[in-house]
Amino acid sequence: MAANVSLRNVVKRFGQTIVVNDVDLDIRAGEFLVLVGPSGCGKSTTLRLVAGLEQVSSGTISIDGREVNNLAPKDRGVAMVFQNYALYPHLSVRDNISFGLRLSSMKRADIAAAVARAAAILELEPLLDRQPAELSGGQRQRVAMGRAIVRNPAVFLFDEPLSNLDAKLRTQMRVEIKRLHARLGNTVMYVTHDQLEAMTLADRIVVMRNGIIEQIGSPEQLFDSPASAFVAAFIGSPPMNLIPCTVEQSGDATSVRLGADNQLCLPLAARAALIGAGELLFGARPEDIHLQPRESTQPLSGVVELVEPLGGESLVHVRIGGELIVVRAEGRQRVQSDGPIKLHVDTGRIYLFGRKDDRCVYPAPQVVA
Amino acid sequence: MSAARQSSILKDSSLLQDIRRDWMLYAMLLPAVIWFAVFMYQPMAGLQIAFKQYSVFKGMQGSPWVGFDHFVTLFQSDFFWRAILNTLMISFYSLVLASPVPIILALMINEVQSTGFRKTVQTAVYLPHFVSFVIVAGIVIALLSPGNGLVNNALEALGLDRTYFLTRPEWFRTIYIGSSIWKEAGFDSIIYLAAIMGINPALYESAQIDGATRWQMITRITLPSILPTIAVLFVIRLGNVLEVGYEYIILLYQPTTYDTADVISTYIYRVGIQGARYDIAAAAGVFNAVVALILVLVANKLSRHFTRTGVF
Repeated sequence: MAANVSLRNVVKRFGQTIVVNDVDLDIRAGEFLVLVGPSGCGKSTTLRLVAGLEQVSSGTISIDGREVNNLAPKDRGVAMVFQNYALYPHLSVRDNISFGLRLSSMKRADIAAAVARAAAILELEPLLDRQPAELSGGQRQRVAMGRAIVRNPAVFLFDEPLSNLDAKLRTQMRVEIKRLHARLGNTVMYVTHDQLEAMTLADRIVVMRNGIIEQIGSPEQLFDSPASAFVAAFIGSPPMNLIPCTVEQSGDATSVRLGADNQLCLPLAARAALIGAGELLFGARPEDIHLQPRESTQPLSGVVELVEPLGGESLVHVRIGGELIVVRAEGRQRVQSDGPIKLHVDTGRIYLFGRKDDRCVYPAPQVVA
Repeated sequence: MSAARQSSILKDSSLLQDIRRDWMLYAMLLPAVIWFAVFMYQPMAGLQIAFKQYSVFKGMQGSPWVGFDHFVTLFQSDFFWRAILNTLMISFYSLVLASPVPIILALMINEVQSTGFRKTVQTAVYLPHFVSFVIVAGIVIALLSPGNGLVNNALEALGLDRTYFLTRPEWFRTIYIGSSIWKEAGFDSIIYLAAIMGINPALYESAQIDGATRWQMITRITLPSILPTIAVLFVIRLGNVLEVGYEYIILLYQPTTYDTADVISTYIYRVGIQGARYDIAAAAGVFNAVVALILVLVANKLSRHFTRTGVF
C-alpha cells in the first residue's frame, strides 16, 4: 500500500517566525523522497506537518487525494520513525512493536501475526522479549522501524533516523532502509542533514533552506545541475569548490579570472549566458579538477597546503589566489605539501553562480519536476 | 604477610592516594560527615540507656544495666501498643491516601497547557509547604471551631448539628491526614513533575501517531516512566512509617483523642520528656528504629524485585 502526498502553499509559523514558507511539493505513491538541508531549514517541521504533530498555519496537505489538515495523526495513514527511536523503555520489543495495535483493540491473534511479520522482515525475532535498554543502537532503530511497519502505513516518515548511530552502523542501516523500501514499496518521506544519506537513498531529493524549497530533483540532477551555489555546496562530499571570479570578454572569447594568476577560457555556450555578468562564483567539483592534463582541461596554478590520504585516493587542499580549494586525486598519486602545483580543470564541468542571488547562471539550470 | 593483610594495605594506600588526589572533593564532603557524626552517630551512644536503669544523678556510665527490662515494661503497657497501632494506622492511611495525591497533582499540572496558569497553580500548591505546622494547626483549629468555624457554619447552614471535631477520636485521623495532604502534596509533587519532565517527548508523539488518547498516554507512558521514582519515594516513605510528625499531632491532639491520636513519638515525648523516664523513652525509640530499618530493607527488596529500582 502506498499513497501520494501533496503539499500546497504550506506555511508554518511559530509566533512571528516563519519556519516553512509556502511549500509546494508532490510526492508520488511509492516514491522515496528525501528532505535535506542544514539545521533550522524547516525539513523536520515539514515532516511533522505531514505527520500531524504540528498544524499548518495555512495551506493544504493531502494524502492519497484526501485533505488531512484536520485529521488526527492516527487517521492519516502515516507511521513515523524518530531520531532518538522513541521506544517505550518499560516495554519489551514485542510490546513496543504492538503498542499501536493494542490501542486499536485489534484481536490478539492478529496482533501476534502482525508483530511476527514485522519481526521477520527486520530479523528481530530473537530480540522480541528484550527490553530496549538491552539493545544496541542499530537494533533499537530496527525496533522503531518495526513499530512503523506493523501499522502497515501508506506513508513512512523518517526523521533523521540514523543520526544517533556511528558511521559504520549508519552505512549498514542505510542499506537496510533501502532494502525495506524496495520490499514494501510504501511512500517514504525521509529527513536528514546528511547529503550522503540523501544521495544514496532518494528517488528524489528536496533541498530546503530557510523554510523554502531550494531545488527538487533526482540525486544525479542535483549533483550535476545545482540550481544555486547553496545546493552545489550542500550536495557532494567534499562539496563543490566555490571561488569568487570575474568574467572577462575579449572579442569572441569569454573567460573567468580567478585571482591574479589564473584565467580560464569558457566554452562558446557560456558567452550568451554571461553577457553583462560581472562578479560571479566559479564552481568546480573536486572530481573535476585533475593533477594531470586531460582532454578539455585547462591549467590552474596554486600551492599545495595539505594532503589528506584516504587510501585509494587523496584530498589535496590547494590555495589559488586567496581561496582554498579541494581536489580529489585518484589512485596513489604522490603530492608534496607546501609546493607549487599545476591543476587541470575540466571546463566542460564548471559552474558559475551569481554572487548576489546565488543562482546558477552557467550552465543553464535544468527545469525539473 | 598474609594475602588478606596485603590486600588491606593496598586498599588503604589506594584510599590515601584518592584523598591526596581529590582532596578538594573530600574537603567538600567533610561538613556532611561532621554533621552525621555529631548529630546522627554520636547521639547513638545514648541508646545504651534503653538497657539501663537510668538516673540523671548517676549519669549514663554510672547507671546500672537492666537488660531488656524496659522493653518488657513497654510491651506489657496497653498505652504503648495503642501508640504503635495508632502510628501504624496513621502511616498506613498516609501511605494509601497521601502518596497518590502528589502523583495525581503532578500528572494534572503536566497536562496544563497554559504556562501562566500552570505557574499560578504550582505556586498555589507549593505555598502551604512553607507554612509552619503551628500556623497550619491554627488554621485547622479555626476552621473546625465549634463556635464560629467555617466548617461548622457550613454544617449548620445545611441543617446539620455543630460538631467539635477535634475532641472526637473518630475524626482525628481524617483531620490529621487531610491537612497534611493539603500542606505537603504540592511540594511533594515537584519530584514527580521533575521525573515527568524527564520523559522523552518523542514517546508522546509516537503514541499520538499510534492513536493513543491523553488518558492512555498517562497510563501507558507517563506512569510507567515515573515508576522508578514512585518506587524510590515509596521505599523512603515506608522507612518513615513509624515516624509520624509528632509536632503536628501534639498541636492537634487532646486527651479525649488519645485513643486514635497518640503515636509512638508523642508517647515517647509524654513518658520520656514530661514523665522524665528517659530509659523507657530510649527503649521505645530503639524499638521504633529497628522496626523502621526492617521496613526499609523489606520495601527496598520488594522494590528491587518488582521495579528493578531501589534506594541502595
